[in-house]
Amino acid sequence: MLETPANLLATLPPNTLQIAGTWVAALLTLATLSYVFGGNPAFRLAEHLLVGIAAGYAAALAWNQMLWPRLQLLVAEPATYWYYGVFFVLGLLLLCRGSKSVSVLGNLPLGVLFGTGAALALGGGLTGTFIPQIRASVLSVNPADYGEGSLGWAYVIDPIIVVAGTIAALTAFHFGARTDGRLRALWRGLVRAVGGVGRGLITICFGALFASAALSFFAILNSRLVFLLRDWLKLLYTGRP
Amino acid sequence: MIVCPACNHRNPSDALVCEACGGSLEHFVYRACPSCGALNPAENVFCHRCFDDLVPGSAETIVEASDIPVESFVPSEPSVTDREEAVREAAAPPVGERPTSDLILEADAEVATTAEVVSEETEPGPLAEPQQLVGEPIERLEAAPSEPEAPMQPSELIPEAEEDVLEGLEGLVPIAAAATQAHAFALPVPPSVSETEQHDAELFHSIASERGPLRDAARVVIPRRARLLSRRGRALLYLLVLLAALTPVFTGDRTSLLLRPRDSVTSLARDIQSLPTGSAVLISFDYGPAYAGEVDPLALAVGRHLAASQVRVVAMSTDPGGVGLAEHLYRTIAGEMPDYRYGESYAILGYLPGPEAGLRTLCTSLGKAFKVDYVQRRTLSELPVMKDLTSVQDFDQVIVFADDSRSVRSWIEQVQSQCNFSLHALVTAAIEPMLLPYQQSGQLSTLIAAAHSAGEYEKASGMEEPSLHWTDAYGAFCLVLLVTAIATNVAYLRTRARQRSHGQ
Repeated sequence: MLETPANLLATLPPNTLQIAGTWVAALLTLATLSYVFGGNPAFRLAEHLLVGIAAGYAAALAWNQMLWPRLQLLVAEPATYWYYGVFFVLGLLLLCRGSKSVSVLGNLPLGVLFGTGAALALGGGLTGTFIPQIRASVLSVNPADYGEGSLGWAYVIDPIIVVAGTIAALTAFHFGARTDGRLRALWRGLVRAVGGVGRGLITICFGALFASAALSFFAILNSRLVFLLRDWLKLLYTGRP
Repeated sequence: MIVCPACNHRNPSDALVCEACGGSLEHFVYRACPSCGALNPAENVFCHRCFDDLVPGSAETIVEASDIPVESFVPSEPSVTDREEAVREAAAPPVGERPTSDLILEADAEVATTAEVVSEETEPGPLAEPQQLVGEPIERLEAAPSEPEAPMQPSELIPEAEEDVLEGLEGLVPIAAAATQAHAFALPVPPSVSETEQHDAELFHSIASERGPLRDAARVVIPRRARLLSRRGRALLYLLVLLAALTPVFTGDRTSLLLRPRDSVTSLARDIQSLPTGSAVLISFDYGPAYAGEVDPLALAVGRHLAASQVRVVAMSTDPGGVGLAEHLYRTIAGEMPDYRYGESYAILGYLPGPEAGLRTLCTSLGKAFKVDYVQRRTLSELPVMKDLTSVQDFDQVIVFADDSRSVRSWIEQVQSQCNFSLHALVTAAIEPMLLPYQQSGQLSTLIAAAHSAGEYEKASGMEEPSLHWTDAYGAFCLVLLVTAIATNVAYLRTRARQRSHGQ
């Protein structure tokens, strides 16, 4: 009985599966794009399929790539790979979170996860982001360091903007201005002025981020339209894919 | 027929959801008040109209919503004659006595009207006034002036009551009346009130008599703000974006011929070109199918260039979907170049979970991170392409294709800061601005947004037959964005100016 589907597939033309895959992809693309007309059953079907297939694929990949090879090593050479057993047990304890009566057993693997992740993230953040970025923001604003004459002045504008913009952006988040003292009004005014410039720069950055995101989404829309016109409907021919 | 308790819409008998308001009609049970007959939800503890306790023993009064005919759904109201008698009884108490302090809220304006008529017909008692108030706050009624009276005896309140039941409770509130007297639907007789109080009472009555939903959740009405774009405006915008995407169909993508690669793209092409034969490059496909449309063209261009340069390529991914994309991409390249074989020219190690811990293991040993490869499931030492490659430091270049800035940051913080190698990030346009600080600090050798860079890279790498990359579409889209931004801002400023002039 199991041979019948295989025999049936063998009798089909060689590109049948590819064509079927193209049609499924095209119909799901149209279902997703139908959201411009509002929520509808086709869009919801495509949405649910995406979530379900992504979760199932990730689970299958994790088992196939990570768990199964290590389980095989543990069974084949337990003396050498005994520590895999410890982590397998911790992983099984994590499943206890699903039951209220034994959920407290899941605290141990969660602690290992969060502790290890936090330690690595903190250490990496310090050495990979915090210190290098502070070092990179310490720039010379002396035109002579960038060249002679007007050339130095032209190149120094960029570091000046970086330094001043960094200080202004940080000042925009300063909410603890002093309320007493002789220089109270001056301090408040300074914080307000510099912070306003910082907020303006942040606004410009958000605008740039939005424009970049819009371009990215347009590129994806473009690729889907190309797929529909070239690969599905065969209306366009553009040489190599 | 089922009447919806929320909006009084009449629904078919088999309806589960109200046709008008969408409220659920399933298993909606009413409980009739034994005092006034009003229908209350089953979960109510006291009647919503007369505030009388819904006695637990009134199970026989529970009625299913589907069994209630339309005509009988209207809550029962006392007849006019009943009210007349009740008002007379309450309006004519003995001298020195207070009227009963029961406060009954009417849910229907007709009752108030009728009560007003009734009140005009009754003879005014010592405390009664012609004006009938409905919904009068309790404190006002209780604060109503009354004649100074002698301490009341229970027997005076109820002439027929037994004298020794509550003897000695002089001066207290007339508990005897409440305890022994049968509950009567009696309207309170209020003292004289002003026109303002009358108006307030009528307003309160109109609000209280509104039929609202009999459910626990309160409905909050939020005023609808005017949309920035009307439905037609949004449809027009969608159409413009679609036409921008299809521009190369009409223009033949002539702009791609005028492409001049940017410095960053040229620099990457030069770096790869300068690699000696037999070098090794690690490529991480840290993006999913959602962004494949944007990143795949550039990944294909770089992959072809590496293959043509006879550089060994080892692929991996920290995104579950990236592994399949890598396999598809290299199958395409291998189909174009027969000598480009798996295991000898390139290999796909697979998926590496754990953004911090997983990447950190690459610094020490590739074998700890990947036990077997993704395609042939062989140990890394069995693959010829993995010769002399034990950790990430053995590679000449590392290229990361990413759709999430956290992925690239993890590479920088966990791997590049520890091992110090040349890292190139080819990312989506959405996250490119977030990674610029890393490029300016020198931690990233190259940072390229993939959206429109595939054509530039092919030109920079000297590709003889570049693919069509729809560069015209990006130009048209930027034009649409610019026009839309200007138009909406002008419209907004004009609207604000008009509002100010009207306000002045």
